[in-house]
Amino acid sequence: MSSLTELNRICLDVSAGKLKDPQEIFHAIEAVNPKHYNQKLLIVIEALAAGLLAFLNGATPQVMGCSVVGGLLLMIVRFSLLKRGFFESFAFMCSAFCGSILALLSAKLLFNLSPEQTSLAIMSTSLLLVPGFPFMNGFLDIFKGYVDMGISRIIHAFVLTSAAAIGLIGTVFINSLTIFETL
Amino acid sequence: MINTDNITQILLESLAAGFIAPAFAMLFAVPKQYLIFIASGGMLTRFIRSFLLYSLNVEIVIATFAACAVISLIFIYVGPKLGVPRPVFTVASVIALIPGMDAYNALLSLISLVEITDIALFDTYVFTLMHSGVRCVAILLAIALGIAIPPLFFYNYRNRLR
Repeated sequence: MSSLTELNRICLDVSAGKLKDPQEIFHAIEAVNPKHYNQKLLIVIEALAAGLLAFLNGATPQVMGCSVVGGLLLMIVRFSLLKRGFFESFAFMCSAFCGSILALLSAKLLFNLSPEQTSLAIMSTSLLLVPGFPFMNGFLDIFKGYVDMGISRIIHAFVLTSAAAIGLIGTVFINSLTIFETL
Repeated sequence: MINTDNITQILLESLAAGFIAPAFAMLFAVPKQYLIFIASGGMLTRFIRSFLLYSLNVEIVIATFAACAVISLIFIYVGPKLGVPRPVFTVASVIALIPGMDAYNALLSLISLVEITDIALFDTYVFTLMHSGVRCVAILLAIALGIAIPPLFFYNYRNRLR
């Protein structure tokens, strides 16, 4: 998004007549670098966002705490896998599984929550992985007339969502094991 | 006609959405100076949807569409003034409306269908899958159409006859 705003600024300058020389325009485009926020800050903020997403779905403070803890591990695993160069879908799958397993364990062992509240904790941890931008950009492209680009973006978003869902299914399977019913 | 019992819940939900929207935008590297606009957009979207849903008893899909259309119209005005493309603001603002519980229940019912033999259980699972699944898809479609349709009236796009 930061690259998008910078490129948009260049386009606005060209259409206003401030940048005229093609070499200048080329150098301005080449100078655009993708920027990122500090990863540690992002991990903490996204974990808090997971807790608030649980609140939006009707959670008690204990469930919010489980979601925050799960969200922390989810983001740590996601960033470390992406840094090592793993495919994005695989990173989503693993981080969804790890994050929701930790949320499940903290819900069952720490707070001893009911099954519905455990489900809420698991679900809101994984809501962080929803690929909102590719999905919405796909629909926006379709409505602007670029149907091929739009459909390929929507399918990409669907693949990422399915990867997160597969990670979640792993946690649901572990939750349904009989050993957890005795805890 | 206007039910004011839930006003605290509506305000708390708007504040939560006001934190979630910039958090999500930071994940996609939105520049710092625009996060305040995204926070206000997220708060306003969630407030409109919750107000329509709880106080005026509008159905959830229509309330979602109305909230997203309003925020899209607002950023059609604000975006060009700041020189920033509109999706930077609008997509991050609607993140708090995504139906999590419905999608989770639908997924759970789908995978529970794998190993059942009881016909009564089958009916329950298929009912939950269809109800939650279609609701989830309808809300997502309402969000996408609510953002995509208002700009069609203001901009000339590729499909317009020249």
